[in-house]
Amino acid sequence: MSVKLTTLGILIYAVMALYLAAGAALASRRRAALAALAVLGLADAAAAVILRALAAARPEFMPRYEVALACGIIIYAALALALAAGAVLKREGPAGTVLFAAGFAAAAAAFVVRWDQAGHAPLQNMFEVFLCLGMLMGPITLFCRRFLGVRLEGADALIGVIILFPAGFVFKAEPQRLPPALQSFLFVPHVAAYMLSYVVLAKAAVLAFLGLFRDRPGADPGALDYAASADRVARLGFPLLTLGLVLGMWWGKIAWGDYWNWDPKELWSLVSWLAYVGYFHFRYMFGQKHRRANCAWLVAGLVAIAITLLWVNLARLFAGGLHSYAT
Amino acid sequence: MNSLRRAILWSVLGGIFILIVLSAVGALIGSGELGRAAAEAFPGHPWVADLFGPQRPKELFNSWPLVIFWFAVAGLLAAGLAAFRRLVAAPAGLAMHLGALLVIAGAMWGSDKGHAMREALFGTVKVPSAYMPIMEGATEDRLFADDLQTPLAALPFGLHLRDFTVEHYPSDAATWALLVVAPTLDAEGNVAGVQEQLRWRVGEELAVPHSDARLTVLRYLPHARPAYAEGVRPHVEVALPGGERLALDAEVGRELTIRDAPPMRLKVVRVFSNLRVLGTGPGRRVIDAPGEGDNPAAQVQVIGPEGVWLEGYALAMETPVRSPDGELLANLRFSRPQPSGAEDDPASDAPAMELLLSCGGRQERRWLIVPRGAGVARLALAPIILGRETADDDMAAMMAPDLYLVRPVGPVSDYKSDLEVREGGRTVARRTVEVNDPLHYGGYHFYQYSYDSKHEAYTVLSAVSDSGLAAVYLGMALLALGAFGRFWAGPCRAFFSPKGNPNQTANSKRQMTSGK
Repeated sequence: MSVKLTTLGILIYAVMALYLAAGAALASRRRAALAALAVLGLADAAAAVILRALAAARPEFMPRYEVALACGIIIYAALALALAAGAVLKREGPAGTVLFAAGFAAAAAAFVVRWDQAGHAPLQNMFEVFLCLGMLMGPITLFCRRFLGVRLEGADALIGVIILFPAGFVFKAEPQRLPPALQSFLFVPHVAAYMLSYVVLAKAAVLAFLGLFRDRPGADPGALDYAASADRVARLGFPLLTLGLVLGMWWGKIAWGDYWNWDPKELWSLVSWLAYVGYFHFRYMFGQKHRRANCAWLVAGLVAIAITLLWVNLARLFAGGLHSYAT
Repeated sequence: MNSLRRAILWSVLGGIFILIVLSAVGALIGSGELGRAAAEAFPGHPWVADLFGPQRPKELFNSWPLVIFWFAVAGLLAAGLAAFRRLVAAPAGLAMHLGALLVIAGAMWGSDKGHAMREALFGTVKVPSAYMPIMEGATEDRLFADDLQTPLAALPFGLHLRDFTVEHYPSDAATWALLVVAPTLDAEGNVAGVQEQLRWRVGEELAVPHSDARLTVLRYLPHARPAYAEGVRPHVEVALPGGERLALDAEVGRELTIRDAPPMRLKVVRVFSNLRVLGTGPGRRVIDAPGEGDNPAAQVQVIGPEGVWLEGYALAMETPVRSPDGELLANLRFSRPQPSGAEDDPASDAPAMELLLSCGGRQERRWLIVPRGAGVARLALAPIILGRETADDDMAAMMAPDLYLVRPVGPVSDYKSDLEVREGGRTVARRTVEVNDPLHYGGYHFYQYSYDSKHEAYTVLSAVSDSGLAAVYLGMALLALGAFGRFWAGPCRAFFSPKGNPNQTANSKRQMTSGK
């Protein structure tokens, strides 16, 4: 766990705070969510104070300045949360959407800052990938709402926070130069197609997960049910996932000599793709007869994506593969 | 849905499930880390560790049972296209399934077994994948196995390596690195070297690792050249047959006119810090490898009234220069005196460092001077540590550490092999192969694979057969276009239609894609 007290880090934390506030503001049980947010903010602040006091008493555990930085960040985040919660609590209206848009703006700013720092499109390592994913959440939510009629923006905001957490607190942020294998015209389209598809399919999986337990949000029988919403979003994401896979195969041929090298990351990306292929065939066979099974396919797809994206890189279980530079 | 279609769909779901499981298994057995863990967990059972390795997934998916599986998958795709008329009628659905079929068919055609089958049936000899090590200046037409020594086949054309280069990103370091390299002996008496970088600042005394010596950096000149005592410079000694001895300054462009018969001029065209000859025959190359040894030399042209007669090298030992008919023209010897120090030279890219070395009460000032164009300079610490002059076979001196001043380099940014394709005695194509930019010629793609990391004197290309690739590329394109057409085109059309709105769009899309 590391705290980043840089321009980039502060931007990321600001995005997380804004997404959290937006999630609370957009949640169906607003007052309860906002109260929880305010409590979270206060708990954060209390944790910071306690941490600082402990560090003062036992400085041998941690360099004092690191504690100060960590506490500073926690306190700023807590203040942002509390302020946002307070502002939203007082008024109805489009506050959630505004907060979400502000979060996206901050994330886009962080992405631009990173691009400038790295000197290339910031899609090389896990920090940059998660920063990009967090930035994409806002526009994808608005797109789904506008073009697909799929709501649940509050959950999207929380997905954004979950995605940004490792960028803000786990992954190293040192910019790296592009190795020869990544200097290709396919670098940006291949990774960007995958990033877009991952965020879209994460939203589909969250909807599908809720669909495992309930038919639809609220009591309105006219509202689009979770399974149908998840299906619409999955249909948006699957072509992007296919594009990412195909561009990866093309790039593999150009860079390594073969479009398929049986590398662990390639194999997991195939598993991800096959999960959605299986979903569409299953749904073609049974339609909406087995709604929960349909939803389970989409949740399984996200699990495969998470393994593709995270496990292969982080567990070191498959270290030494061709994609090992993407850690 | 009739029973045939239902059976096909159930088979498709079964095939997808099997492929998911096999892919997950492939990812697991492809893990080197897991293989090492298995070897530690089952020390008495080496076969357990043998289950794992980077090549295992490829072997699994190309094994005979899986060959049958791939044929079954291809058959299912074909059966689906035949049984589901709506699939064929919808261009996007047809494109997706036809694309998948083409990818599988192309991959089978281009696989090792596909090549072997064509060789057995049609006598077509084409190596699926191989390697080509090529020296700079040499032409190679043989394909080798991965040991780079076992020839597999010969190509009807050759690849000539004009030049190989490695490019680096600029380093972020402000100064060159000061390293201590100390020889060590292992338990079997083999000599190895340990290397340690010193964090130095001007005026600060440091301990020299692996010795009792200490050093202080007195001066660091980022742009420097060697300085010599008055009247002493590197030069070429010219001994004429008549006994006369002349001196020619060892600087590029300097000339010496000799008026004796035959009248001629000697001109320095290149100066070497460490002359090395790479290769033999017509592909032989003479390079300067400064910092890696000490073989000072000068390349000298002998110019007669009609132009350049010949070229020769002045080395540290006396070297005769003869005319084409064997007449001795002169004996040349390169003389390089020890520099007395270094001085600023803004035109130089090489630094110099003045050191104060101390050991056992002895103190000496020494310079580490990087030759122009070199990446490293070396200073032996044996004399100051041992307190005496040392000989080449002095074991104590051999085990003493050395100091190195090394150019900091950033990470590698590119590897480049400048190649010519030669066929029938003439050059038919030229291309610089680099990572992400292979050469395609004669049914093979040639990729930058490896290289000579020490002298950059040779490259290693991997050659991959292009059999089946067109089908795979076409299949990939159809698959991607079909996916967008199938899932995006309808909703987009509905949304942008004059009556379109989000709910209508959603309903129309649901109807379109539900399959009901």
